[in-house]
Amino acid sequence: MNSLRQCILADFKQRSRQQSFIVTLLSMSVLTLLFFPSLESQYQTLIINGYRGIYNSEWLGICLAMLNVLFLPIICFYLIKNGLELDRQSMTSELIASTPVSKLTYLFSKWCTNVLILLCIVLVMLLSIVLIQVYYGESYQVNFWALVWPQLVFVLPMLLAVASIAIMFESIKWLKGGVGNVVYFFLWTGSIISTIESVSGIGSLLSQIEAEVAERFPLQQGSTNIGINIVNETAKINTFIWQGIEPTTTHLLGTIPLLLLCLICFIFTVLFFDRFSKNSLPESQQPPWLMRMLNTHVINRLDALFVILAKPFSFTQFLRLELKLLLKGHSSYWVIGLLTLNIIQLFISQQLLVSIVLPISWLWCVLVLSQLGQLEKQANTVELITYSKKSAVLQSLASYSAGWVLLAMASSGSLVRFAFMAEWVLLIQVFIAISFSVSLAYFCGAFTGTKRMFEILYTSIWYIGLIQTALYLDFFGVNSEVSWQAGIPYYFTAISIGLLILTVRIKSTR
Amino acid sequence: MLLDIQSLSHQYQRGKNATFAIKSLSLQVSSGILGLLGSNGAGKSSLMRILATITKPSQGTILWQGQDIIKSPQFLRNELGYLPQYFGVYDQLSGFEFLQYMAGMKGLSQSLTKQTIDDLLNKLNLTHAAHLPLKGYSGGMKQRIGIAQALLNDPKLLIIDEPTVGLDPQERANFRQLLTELSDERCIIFSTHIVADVESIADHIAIMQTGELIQYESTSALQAKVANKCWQLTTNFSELKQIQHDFIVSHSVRKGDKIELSIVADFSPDERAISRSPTLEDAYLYFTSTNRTQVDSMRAC
Repeated sequence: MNSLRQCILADFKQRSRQQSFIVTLLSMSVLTLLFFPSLESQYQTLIINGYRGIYNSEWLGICLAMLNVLFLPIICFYLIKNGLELDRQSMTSELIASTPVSKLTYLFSKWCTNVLILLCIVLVMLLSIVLIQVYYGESYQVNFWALVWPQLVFVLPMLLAVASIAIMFESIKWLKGGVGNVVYFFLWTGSIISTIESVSGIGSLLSQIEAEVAERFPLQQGSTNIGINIVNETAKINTFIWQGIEPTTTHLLGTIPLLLLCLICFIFTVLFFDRFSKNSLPESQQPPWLMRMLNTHVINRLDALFVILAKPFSFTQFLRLELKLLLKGHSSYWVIGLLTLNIIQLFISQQLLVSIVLPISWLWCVLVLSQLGQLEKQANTVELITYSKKSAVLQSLASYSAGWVLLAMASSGSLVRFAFMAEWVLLIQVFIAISFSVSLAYFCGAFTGTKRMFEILYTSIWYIGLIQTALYLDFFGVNSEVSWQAGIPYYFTAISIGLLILTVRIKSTR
Repeated sequence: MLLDIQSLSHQYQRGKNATFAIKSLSLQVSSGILGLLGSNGAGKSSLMRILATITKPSQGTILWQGQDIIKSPQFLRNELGYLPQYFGVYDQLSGFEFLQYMAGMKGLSQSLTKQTIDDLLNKLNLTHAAHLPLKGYSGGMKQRIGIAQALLNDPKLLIIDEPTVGLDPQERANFRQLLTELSDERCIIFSTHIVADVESIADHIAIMQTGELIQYESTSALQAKVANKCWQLTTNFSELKQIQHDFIVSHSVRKGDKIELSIVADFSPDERAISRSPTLEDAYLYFTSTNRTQVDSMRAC
């Protein structure tokens, strides 16, 4: 028992004393405050048939639960998916592995710490909504039970499952890195719909409130929206007093699937966790024959060509080395995939190319691109690089250009095709998309020193902007005409330049 | 006999080829200090990780007090203290908190933990920094925290891999003193590159080379093996390069315009050379140096 207690305590202290934890709590508090705007605000978040409940504890408690069920799984997963990684990277794992602590105790303690961290976040959000209720003063009667029970019934089981999924991802070799981050993102986007539609979950609750509003205000014909909705100045948002509901057995039974998921993921974690036995052993494997052939006949020859091309200037020499650094050590399947995507780019219809294949080609590079700006920190070569005679600005520009060349290579099929077809506007759009992607990668890497921020942020923007074609996040301009009319390419060009300047400044200062 | 290693092998798969990190190693260790010497890549750290029950070997058995620890690692883990060559700490915790954590992991009772940690911090001269965050500790202080965590459970088998790296001379001397005090009732395996660290304290020396155990003797027996192979030669700088090429030079001291060399060779390297008493470093170099075969064959011709 002492093992478990000490393990949870130490892990929690280590993770909660980091500055990033305080920043996260503050951010979540701000997010909560923003989710509950005043009636006069330019946006509203939860509108049912043109109505929203007054900010009493009952309404706020339910709304917070909805916010949490929708967004905490994605935010929290990435926040806590470093419990085992922390021990691996700090090499505390070497000490832990030789102690008598069992796999079960160790993993259970990690899961408990994950849950504790998530509970801290929910607690901060709860405190924030108490503040919101008192601040807006639409009802001064704070009913703690009404605030807390939706979190216990709807949010807690989900947090327990997320804590378990995060630790499971860390235990499975191919899911613990960037691939896992991307896979989880798509799992999450898939789960939103099922969560909303779920009979016993938050979806049923929303239907219940909708039915109540329709019954009380049958004449009103407004829309129902969860999320951020820009308010039309002519449309007035009405309020009503919602008395709330009490948790029922159906609600409680609805938690069972999530609790089962939590248990199953934990069992998988115990099965897959290697107890750090493969931590620091050299695992040098000969590449497969296809990769050896590619190395000999394509990559080595391309590199020889790059050497000749890069020779005249120190910047180009540096660029070649940065590109080599970026591309080293990636799986042969990644290279083959990239080549295949480029071939597809040449032959597919333009509509499919612009809306699917080209975005996929960029997403294909996300795990390589995420190394930008933080490679030296991960490889612990910061001090070696700092005293080299190349200036920080030159280094930054070479790194940036290497990322740019990488994405240009990923889009080379399209670039050739657009040039041949004289699709100059599309060509410019590709350049803008590449510049934005690389600037974002470089900024995220330099700012956070980790790959994760870019992997999550880019995948989100990619999905919402390019796949769902949300105008303001569409950095490529899938709907070319609309995009140019709204001036989106100009915005993204400006953002790219701004991010690059900011990153160079960060790098130079350091 | 406490620890019995029988025909231990460990190999890594590199493509189609298997590379041996440890090759058919057999060793019996009883209480006292065993100094494990070997060059980089000799297989010391692999052996340490296997003995610390972190890695499972490919072949062989390891018995701890008669119990097979490959099948039942938990049996040893309860009595094991391990300080790896590279390790990390939770840098947001204080030294005291980190040791509390490790004590918990080792299954120490709450009542025993505080007193044990206080004693160890005192012994390792860390009491003043006990409640400061580890991120502010120097390399030597972190190393001492590593040593403290290894000793928390009063281990019967203490495995320490390059423990003196980062310690200043005074700390190294203190550490050697501490090990000598501890060695009475337990088995200590001390791996190092620095021969001087084990010379004065080890009861036995094991020398590894390319995964194999090439020597295992008491310190004095090992030194005796090279007793008639150690020479001292005072010579000019101009001859130094040739001598270094032909013989194993274990030490050199500048004496004005001349240089005094300590040489290990089967035969007198020069008529001016005089015999001298052997050191452990001489023995280590003699058995591990590739130069020796060269010189031997040169002499044979």
